[in-house]
Amino acid sequence: MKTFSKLSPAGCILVLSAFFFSSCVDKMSMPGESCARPPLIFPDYTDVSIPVNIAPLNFRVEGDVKACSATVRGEDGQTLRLSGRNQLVFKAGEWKKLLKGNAGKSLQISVSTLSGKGERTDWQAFTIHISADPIDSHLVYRLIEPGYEKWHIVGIYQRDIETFSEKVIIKNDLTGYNCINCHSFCNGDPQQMMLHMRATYGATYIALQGDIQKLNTRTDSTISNMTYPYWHPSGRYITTSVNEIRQFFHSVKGKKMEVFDLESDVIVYDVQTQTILSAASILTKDAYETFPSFSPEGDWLYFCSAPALPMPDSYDRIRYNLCRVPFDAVQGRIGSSIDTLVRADVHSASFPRLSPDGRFLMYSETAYGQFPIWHKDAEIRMINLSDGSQVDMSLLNSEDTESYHSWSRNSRWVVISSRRENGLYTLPYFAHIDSAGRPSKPFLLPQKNPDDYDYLLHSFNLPELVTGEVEISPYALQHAAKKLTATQVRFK
Amino acid sequence: MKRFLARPALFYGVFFVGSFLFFEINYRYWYRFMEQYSLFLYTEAYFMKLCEQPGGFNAYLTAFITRFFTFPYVSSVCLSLLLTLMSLLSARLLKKRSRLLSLFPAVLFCLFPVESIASVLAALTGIAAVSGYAAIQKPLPRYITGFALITVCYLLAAPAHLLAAAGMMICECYGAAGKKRFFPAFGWLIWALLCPLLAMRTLYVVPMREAFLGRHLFHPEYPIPASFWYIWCALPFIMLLVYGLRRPKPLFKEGLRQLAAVSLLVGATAIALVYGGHPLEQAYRYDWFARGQQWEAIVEDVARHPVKDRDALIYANLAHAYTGTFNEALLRLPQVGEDGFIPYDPKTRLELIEASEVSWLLNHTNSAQRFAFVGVLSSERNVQSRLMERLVETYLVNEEYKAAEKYIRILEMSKPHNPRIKELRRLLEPETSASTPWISERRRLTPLTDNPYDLTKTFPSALAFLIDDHPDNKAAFEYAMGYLLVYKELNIFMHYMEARKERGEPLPVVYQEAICLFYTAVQNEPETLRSYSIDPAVYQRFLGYMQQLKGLTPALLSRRYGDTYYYYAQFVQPPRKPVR
Repeated sequence: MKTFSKLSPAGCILVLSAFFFSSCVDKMSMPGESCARPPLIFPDYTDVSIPVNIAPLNFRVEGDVKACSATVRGEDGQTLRLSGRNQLVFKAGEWKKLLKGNAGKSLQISVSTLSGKGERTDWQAFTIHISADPIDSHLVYRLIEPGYEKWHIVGIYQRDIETFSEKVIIKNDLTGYNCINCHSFCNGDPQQMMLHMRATYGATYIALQGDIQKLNTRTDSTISNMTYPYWHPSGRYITTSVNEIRQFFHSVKGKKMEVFDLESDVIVYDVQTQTILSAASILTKDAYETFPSFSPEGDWLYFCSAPALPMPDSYDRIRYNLCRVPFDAVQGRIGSSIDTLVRADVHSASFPRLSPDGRFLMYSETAYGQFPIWHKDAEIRMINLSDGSQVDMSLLNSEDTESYHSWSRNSRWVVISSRRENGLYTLPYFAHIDSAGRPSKPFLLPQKNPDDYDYLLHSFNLPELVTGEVEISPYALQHAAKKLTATQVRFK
Repeated sequence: MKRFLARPALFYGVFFVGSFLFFEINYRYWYRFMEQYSLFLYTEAYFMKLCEQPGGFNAYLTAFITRFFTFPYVSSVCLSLLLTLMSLLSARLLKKRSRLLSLFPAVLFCLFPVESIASVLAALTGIAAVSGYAAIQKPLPRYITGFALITVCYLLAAPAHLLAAAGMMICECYGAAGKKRFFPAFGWLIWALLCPLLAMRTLYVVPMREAFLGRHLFHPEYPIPASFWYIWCALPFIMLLVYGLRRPKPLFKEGLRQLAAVSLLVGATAIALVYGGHPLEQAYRYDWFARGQQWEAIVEDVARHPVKDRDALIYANLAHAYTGTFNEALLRLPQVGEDGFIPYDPKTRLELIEASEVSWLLNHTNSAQRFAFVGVLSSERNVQSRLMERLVETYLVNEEYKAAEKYIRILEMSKPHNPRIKELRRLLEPETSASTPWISERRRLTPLTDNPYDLTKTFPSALAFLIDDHPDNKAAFEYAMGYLLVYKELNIFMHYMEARKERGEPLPVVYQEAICLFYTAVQNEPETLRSYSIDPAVYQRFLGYMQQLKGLTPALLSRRYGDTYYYYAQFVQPPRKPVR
């Protein structure tokens, strides 16, 4: 008693903590009640396929959990044992070794928990399949509040998917709290990037091998600045839409807001000559064209097109077809015949993206309009281009919004935007696509601390897979925004 | 007596009591309003997130202390204590030469009250650092300590390092003789300026302003107020004054000087108590009552005091609507038209709260949600605990349980034992929420007809949709009729009265007066007038008015009939309709 009274408060806390944890450990080591289902974990990593180079899949066990432990067994014989309060956190080195040793195989994870009442439960083991196909090392996304008309802090960030390192590419507090959007990369190359800024320092910024161009892309012949971009695989061209965008807010339950175009066209911009090619522009008054993209060979230009209806009155009747036209990269010219790949009879298509191997065309589909992010029914669809058939994507989709997607360079992984977690904040999920185009169950981007998602008040907007780190400094982009004079793009 | 007056405890005690009274009387609701913008979370991730920013620890401490500002006297006691401590430390730096001057920085904080105590805490940290530095006599330990103090001040409480460096410079310049003394002095200045620049390249990606001043002193999107510079230059200024000027020969004896100092302090406090105060004090007070759903308190206050500004008027109208006295109070309140019912295109923090409150009252759940969402985003720290609760409520009404749970989880991290948050979690069960009266009633009154009208920009059109969908949406109906009556749009008003007559609902007095006026002065249709159930007393009074109209002087007419709608319609200029 005398000795105990001499302990400082910190010492008392240490002794009590040691006592608490030792009692938990004791109880955890005793056999418990078996449960015939896997534990409820966040993020849900049960029965998912993961790339061999992914960061540790740390997770927490949901429910009344005072302590938990897990045994992870690889098919190669490696075994890891983890324990924690309600989180199970892997050591980076051990995780890497485990994945390397089990590439193309599976992991069995057995979780035991101790409830607040001291009851131990041994949950049914779940499996994680490790694909030998690696995923592109970096994910670039915009973090933005999933908000209405007001933005506060917007930033484009890059996350090393193999670790937990997240770095800023550019944040709008460096550039007068303007809007920063539509980052895009040529073939996932971090050295060839573009993005737009709106309002203060409004311009399009193209960063090529460290050099930054600042462009004023509005011309007398186009209806707006460049909007939704996509690079030509050669790096010479960028196709974008030009849109006169409006929005309004719904009054009724189940609908929040609507974003629509009063007018839109598709153009092609020549990066070398800094001109918009009139020969490669789809400028029509009787149709709205938007969301262009190139095929991996660069010989087709895909886009979405809808007949021009009076807006906003027809906002829920407008549906976009998925079309393509031939593109001659040498001449910088668009062909005349338009193919319609998906007719918008009952649904509307947006964001066509071809797999880099050219075999699959993935796009978003919703009941109407061209802005799926606010549509709960929005889903990812995919066409097998070899026979034009639809691939079953039901494993990829959820009851909530799936709105965007980006391919890994090996065509084996996609990242999709989904609101399945809470119906409001868009988060990035990865899914494996096998050689037949079949998707696996998607899994959420792992975080060092899974609780980080709880307090996250931003959406991951436009997640783009990139093959390496974007090395351009945020201050270099800030300098370009503040000091460079924008070059006026010509309409040729 | 002389000894008693010379005691610092008396002088600083008087200052503590004076500043406590000043904040308690004039700024009680201002700091309670500000508390809403500080969502302290009891999580490690939150601590780490803040500490990853310059001055982040100071922001963390601020958020923790501010969390208790909703309790009585806490903000006033806390501010008074901090300012008194600041004065005591300043006095120590001034070598106790002038007690009155030592109050100067603290008094400036009273003259220019800050939005969060982050600024006070940072200034206190800076002054404490200088004080600690000045206490070390030996040069080398002092220099090592100075270097460490500036660095730590920057990392934990930027811009405290600037104040610390300025103070240390002055201490060095006046502490020794010879030119060598200027080397350490300028060294501190250079290090204080270099710290943020180095941190920008190594630790943080932040704009220059944030790198030097931290993020949490002011709203990062707004310019820094000039008062910041006055306050932060105050200590170096008085140090220069005291150190640089030769001490004058005292004109009076010590006892008399102390008496004068205490008297001056008491007099200044009295003046501050009488003439101080925030211009929006009434609006913030009403906002506090609204936050606690104390609508009767607003109605009682409105009955005793005049409504001073538009924000207070919005709350007064809201409170009368909640307490079922909207129609009776309509003409008693100094109506300014549309802007007095709901703020137009809300942008400021108070406006966004008001817009969300009015939309919620009118059962326009989507608008209440939207303004709550924008209100949360618009705050300095991207949080707003009260509007986050509103978000939860709207998601529960709209049956979006997963989104509601997202915010409940955050609120639980902030207020783990709050019964309201526990109640909201219970409502995540669909059956429980469906059987909860306030939710089921709001679901029943949810708009059915989709329309793009923004409640704040096209108030009458949006209201028309609400009452067309649900004529029993009492609040929307009262606001719509209030709007029409204030603008004297009797033709449209009568359109709704006809529908109401068919439903056989009783008519408030102000409606009856408007109907009497319409069918007598606008359209002479006594038969139609009789078809409405007009109270005989109301009708008799109206007849009396009509008969005495020409016979009474304007003053007498106003005294007798000034509270009636027909008097308003005839003699009061309606507010001008805003041209947008």
